[in-house]
Amino acid sequence: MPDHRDFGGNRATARVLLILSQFAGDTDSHGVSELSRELGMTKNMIHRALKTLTRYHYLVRDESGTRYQLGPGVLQLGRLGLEPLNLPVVAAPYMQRMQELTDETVSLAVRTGRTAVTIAGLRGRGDIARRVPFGRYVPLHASPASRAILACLPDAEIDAYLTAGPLERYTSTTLAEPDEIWDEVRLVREQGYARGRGDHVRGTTGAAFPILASDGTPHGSITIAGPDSRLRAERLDALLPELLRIAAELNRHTQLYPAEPLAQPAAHR
Amino acid sequence: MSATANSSVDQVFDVLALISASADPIGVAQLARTLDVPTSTAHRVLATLEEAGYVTRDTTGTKYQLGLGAQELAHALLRRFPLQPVSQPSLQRLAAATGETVVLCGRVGFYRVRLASAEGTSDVHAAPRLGQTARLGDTPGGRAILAFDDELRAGYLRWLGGGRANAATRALQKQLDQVRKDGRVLESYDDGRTNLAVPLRDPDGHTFASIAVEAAESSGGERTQRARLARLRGTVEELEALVRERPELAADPFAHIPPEDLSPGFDPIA
Repeated sequence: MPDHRDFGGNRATARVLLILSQFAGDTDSHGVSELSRELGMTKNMIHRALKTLTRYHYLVRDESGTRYQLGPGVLQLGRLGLEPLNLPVVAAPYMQRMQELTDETVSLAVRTGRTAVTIAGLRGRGDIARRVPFGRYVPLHASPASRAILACLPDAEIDAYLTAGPLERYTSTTLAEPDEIWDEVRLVREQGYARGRGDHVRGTTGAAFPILASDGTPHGSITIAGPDSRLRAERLDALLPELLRIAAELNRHTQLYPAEPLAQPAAHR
Repeated sequence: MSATANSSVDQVFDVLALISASADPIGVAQLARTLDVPTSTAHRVLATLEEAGYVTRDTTGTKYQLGLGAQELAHALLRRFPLQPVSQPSLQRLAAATGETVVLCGRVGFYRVRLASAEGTSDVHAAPRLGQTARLGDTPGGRAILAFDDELRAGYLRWLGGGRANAATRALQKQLDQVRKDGRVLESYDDGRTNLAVPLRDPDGHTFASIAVEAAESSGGERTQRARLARLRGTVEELEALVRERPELAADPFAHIPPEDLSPGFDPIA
């Protein structure tokens, strides 16, 4: 902890940064009273912070003259510009956190046409672990990783997928009827994750979380999976709240970026 | 750049500016040296910034880079331009059709800002960064905005020349006249890149943005450029039709502020 003199300055600074962060949402402008209420700070504190932030052009007054909006100064925060999304790089720290939390295998999948393919992963740390299915293409209905992606597509695209071709059944737990898959889609949308037990490869249980783009369509999904014998339902249930938190943080990052155009290799349509 | 008489808020913004201007993550010692402050101060400032999400450590855990919180602010500003979120599908179609990178350029004061982009589908393509700013006269995307608006153009030339005409303003004026005649900006660079930009107009005929095709290689001769221009105009028509339906898409979030008052926001802070 810094000494007391520093601490005072630190707190004022932290307040200024917190106030600036309020402008990162989709609300165009904020007023003094409103900020004071939301942040539990006095109007005087807010006034002083806004004065500082306008001096740096991070904020400017809006049309009304009494409220504030983001200013050109924030573009300096990307003075080198904002890079396009590099999903494996952005996802890497979150995958690591999921692996450390669960000790199970974590993988990253993206959609290509009618399938999802695993492009990155970390093997689980136990004596037995699920392999990272690098490069494995799985139809959009046939694994948690796939269904986490499927569920975030527009309804019309899901319909097109379900009616366009035969839905292969891999094991006794594969969902292969359009009605069942629609029920699953609704469940995934409601819960924020897709679960599966041996539905593509026997012996593996997993949960997958959608990774979304700025328009709400999927960039891909992140999955934790392990042997049925170890990743029993109760254990997965207990892990889910924290996994959902990690996935939400990852999404905060990826939702800054638009979806990439689809790669659709003819062989995997 | 010294810390004399700097409040701790100023120190924080100095550090933030330095980190955002650096291509690589920076260590504490280097930050302290550059800003001429004690290492303990640099540590304290970084802790404050890290706590607030504005900087984050790199994989080594010892160097600092811009955090998600800071990037979110820059993205949020880009989203204040109503056309930005809805233009993406059109940009992506044009990128797929031409193979080259397509950029939507907007205006903040006398600066052009890259609001949105779709990466070219060719293996080698231009990789411009979102949010990057440049003076309107300095890039094709900016000149496409500047050339067709008399009031903006006059204001910009006054600002650029400090109220007087000089060699730079005269050269730009000539360039802009040519752009007006051609209806587009086409610029070639020594390394073979080309940049083709055209204006986007609102229903009143007022230029509020531009679209640029930033091509990586000169493989294309005149025929390629002609084909590219035709496709680009198709995208312009598409977006202008969208704006005719919903005129609010052309809104300028900074319309109430004179351009010259916004410009200091682009000056380097540190």
